[in-house]
Amino acid sequence: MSAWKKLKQDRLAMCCLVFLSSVVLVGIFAPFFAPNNPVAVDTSLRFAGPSFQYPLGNDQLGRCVLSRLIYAIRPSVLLVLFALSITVMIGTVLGLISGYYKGRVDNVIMRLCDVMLSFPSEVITLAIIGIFGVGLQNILLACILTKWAWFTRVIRTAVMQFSEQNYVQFAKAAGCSTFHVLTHHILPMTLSEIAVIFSSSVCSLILQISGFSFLGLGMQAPTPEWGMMLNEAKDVMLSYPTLMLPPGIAVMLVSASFGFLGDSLRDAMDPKHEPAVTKRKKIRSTV
Amino acid sequence: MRNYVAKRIFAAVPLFFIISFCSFVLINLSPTDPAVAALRANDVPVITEELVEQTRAQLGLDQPLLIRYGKWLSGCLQLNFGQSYVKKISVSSLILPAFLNTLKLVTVTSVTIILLSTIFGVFCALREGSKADKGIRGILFVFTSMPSYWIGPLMIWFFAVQLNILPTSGIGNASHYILPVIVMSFSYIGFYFRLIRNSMIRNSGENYVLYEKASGLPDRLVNRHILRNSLQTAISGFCMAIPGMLAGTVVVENVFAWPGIGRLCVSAIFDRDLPVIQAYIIIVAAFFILFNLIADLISAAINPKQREG
Repeated sequence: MSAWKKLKQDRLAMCCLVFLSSVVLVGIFAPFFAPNNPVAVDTSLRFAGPSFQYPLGNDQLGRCVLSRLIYAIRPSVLLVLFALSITVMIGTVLGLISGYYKGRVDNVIMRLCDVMLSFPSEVITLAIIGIFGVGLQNILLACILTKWAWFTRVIRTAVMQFSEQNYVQFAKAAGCSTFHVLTHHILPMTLSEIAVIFSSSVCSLILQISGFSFLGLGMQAPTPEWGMMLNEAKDVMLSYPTLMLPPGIAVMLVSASFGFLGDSLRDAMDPKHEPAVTKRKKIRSTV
Repeated sequence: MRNYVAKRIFAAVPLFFIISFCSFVLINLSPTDPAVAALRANDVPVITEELVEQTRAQLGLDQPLLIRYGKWLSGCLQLNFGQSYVKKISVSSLILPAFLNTLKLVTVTSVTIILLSTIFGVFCALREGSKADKGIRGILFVFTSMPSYWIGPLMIWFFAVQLNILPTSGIGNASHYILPVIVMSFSYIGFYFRLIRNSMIRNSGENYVLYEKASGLPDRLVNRHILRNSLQTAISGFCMAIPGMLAGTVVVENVFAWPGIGRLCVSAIFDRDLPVIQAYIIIVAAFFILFNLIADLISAAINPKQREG
């Protein structure tokens, strides 16, 4: 609870949290917020400037830029969050098993993680797309495949730390089932760890997945996606450079907010952390 | 130390075999038959059952999996990655020049990153909490979260089209390096700069610093000792980043039409040119393992504590 209090004092983190929640809500209820149909082509409106009906203007096919931006939240943010949740679940289950039972099971899982982690994630993603073909679902699959090992490692370390604690020993001695011990006494303690790695990896993942869509390997036209929109805007960049701005700024703001939130969350969860200013004063006073 | 080196090298070899086997098997699990892919890549209009059988025999796909893996791997070790389905020339003549181009870009970029992040890191650590520190941290944070596929085209538009002082794309003289290197460094400097800054700040709270200050050593000398100790974490971090960059050039190479390995791989994916994809995976994996090994050995050489683990 004290972590939440610390987080609430952090104004920047609260701004990010409010901004991100509203982005997610707008994405979920995209049809209510989008002024126009995101895929409706109107050649008479090609490259039209901002107007009352089309607040951000129209793209090279006369589609509403704002509506495309809003609908693109779904693949660019919501699907990434979904894929990451699956990864966290896999990581949590394997991490719990590995950290609690130790021994041979732990060894096997850890060697598997070593193999996965010894490979850059971009290469695995390219390999998966190369094998199963172009498409967003394959990129998300690749993201699950590349990230689970890392989550498993982090959660395993946390579990190992807590499973030796006295209260866990007591619960075991009192005859609680292993499942009960894991879900009631160990899992809640690792939640902070999970929250930190979740929010910090969303940031890089959003950038990465939009990047693959930018290369034409992810989302396929005409479905709007931020990376895709940038790719289309790049082709007409020399005559209409302003089309580059909305999707680029959207990617930047969302990923930066997740990054800030992850950092603040880590500081809030870390009981040892002190703000830089007070620490500096302390050093001065000791010296 | 010698034991540690031997142990690490012995651990790296099986890893290479596992990864090469995984990538080979995965390609063979592909829902598209390689023979069909080869025929499609050559724009064969009607693909008959007979033609597929013929191609399969021609490509040696009718042999058992393990024999094919053995042949492929021994070929790879001699830099022979087979024939490209599309371009009809050997994969190695496609991928080796591209790999050298990528390596050039990565080398220049890593030197830039190391220099700039050390300078900024030391500067900010010495002025922790000041306005300059906050300003630099904020600016670098914004740069890090700017996607390279966005800032790249914008920089081309501004420096190459509007100001017309730099080339838009391609490879040539030194000026071709400027934009790709800047764009690539943006995404890494923020991270390494923070690594150096934070480990310097952590080190400055250690007892040896307090002792040195109490003994009246000049600040310059104390700071140099702090820097030397904090660079340890940064050096192994840099070594880990180089192979990551080899894989991370994909976007920058495509934006700036740099004829490197990432661009080759993306075009191979669109053409479903499986031998090129396979060669890409195995080359990057080999370099990744090699640099991880070097990173471990360097940090073991600097820090004796690591050798025990």
